[in-house]
Amino acid sequence: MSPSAIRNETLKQLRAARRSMLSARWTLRLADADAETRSEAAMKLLEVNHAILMLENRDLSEIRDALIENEEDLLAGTEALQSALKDLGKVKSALNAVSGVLAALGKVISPF
Amino acid sequence: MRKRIAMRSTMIGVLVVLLALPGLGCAAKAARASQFERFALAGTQFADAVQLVLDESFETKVATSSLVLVEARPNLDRDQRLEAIEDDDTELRERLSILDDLKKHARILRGYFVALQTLAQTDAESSGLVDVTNGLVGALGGISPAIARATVGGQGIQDLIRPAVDFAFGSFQSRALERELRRNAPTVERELALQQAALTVIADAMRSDLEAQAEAEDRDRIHLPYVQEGTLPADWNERRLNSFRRRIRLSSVDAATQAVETIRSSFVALVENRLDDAAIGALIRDVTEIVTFVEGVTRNPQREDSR
Repeated sequence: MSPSAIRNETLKQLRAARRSMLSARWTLRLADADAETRSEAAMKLLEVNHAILMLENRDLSEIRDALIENEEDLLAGTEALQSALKDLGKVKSALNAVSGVLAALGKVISPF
Repeated sequence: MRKRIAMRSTMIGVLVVLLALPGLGCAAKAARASQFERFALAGTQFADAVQLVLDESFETKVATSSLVLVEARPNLDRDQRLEAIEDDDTELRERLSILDDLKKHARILRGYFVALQTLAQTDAESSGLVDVTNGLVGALGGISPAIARATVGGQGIQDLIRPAVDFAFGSFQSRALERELRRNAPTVERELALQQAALTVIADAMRSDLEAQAEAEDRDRIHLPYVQEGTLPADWNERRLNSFRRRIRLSSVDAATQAVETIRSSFVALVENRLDDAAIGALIRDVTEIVTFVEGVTRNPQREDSR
């Protein structure tokens, strides 16, 4: 089993445990328990929830790091698109230049 | 004199060839540019919606943390309570920082889609190229009025110049779009795969958080009142019925996960030039759903809904 698969399975078990610990059955069992057991159960619930938070954060931070690694390429792609847009503007400049040359040529070559 | 005649004939010949080209590929190029434009529009909306989904996921996470802290509180001493809330706060701050990074990144992704959309939307008319080209015809007419008066297939040069410009411009634009699409394809594919992975983790977390909240709610409002002595609340049956009907409200994040999958498949179709209207329609629907769900939650912030 890969590390990420183990982590996923652990998360699944922890989430199931948290849900059980919030159920009516669990609450009723604890109602008859002594103070020490109730305190221990409360600590366990906190630990389970905290472990869930930590494991989810680890998963998300790995993805976040990979996304940030991709940022440079994404920004380069955006710049390339903007540059291509400017290139379209160059077509206009080129045609303007051609118009200028032709207008000058028109003065040299007399119409017939 | 012969030279002038030869020059005039050549110019007219070139114009005839140029003006005959547009009908061959102009419509195809416009359709292709439209595919880029619509894909980019959906991508922009998706990047906007992701930010709302991330906010919603954090609110759900804090609500679950608070629920657990309150549950445990009666059986903890002061030191334990302090340690518990500080530990959760540390992880929640870390979560907020990660989500902020994801939101910042979504804005960068949005920038890419906006640039793509702008390039795809630009046409000969909006670029001012038509005026310039009309000037070009005028300049040609200055050399030889015969060119300005010339007709091709019964139409004057001035009437035909626009499709010719569209075609030339469209070819240039089309080449630029295709070139950038191929150049950026690995980056965009990686990006969409990572977005999908992030949304999957967030969806799983939200689903589990909302299930935990629902479990506690059913316990307090349905199960314990029934088990314990005393009179049941008047609306007890209604509460029970609502619980059966309840669906964990994951609409927005589920829609986002679905949308990123559709965007990924649409991107592959765009690269392969087989992005049809049906696929674009599905893409727009998926992205619109995220916004609808998130707006619905903002207007009516219930933890679950009935479907």
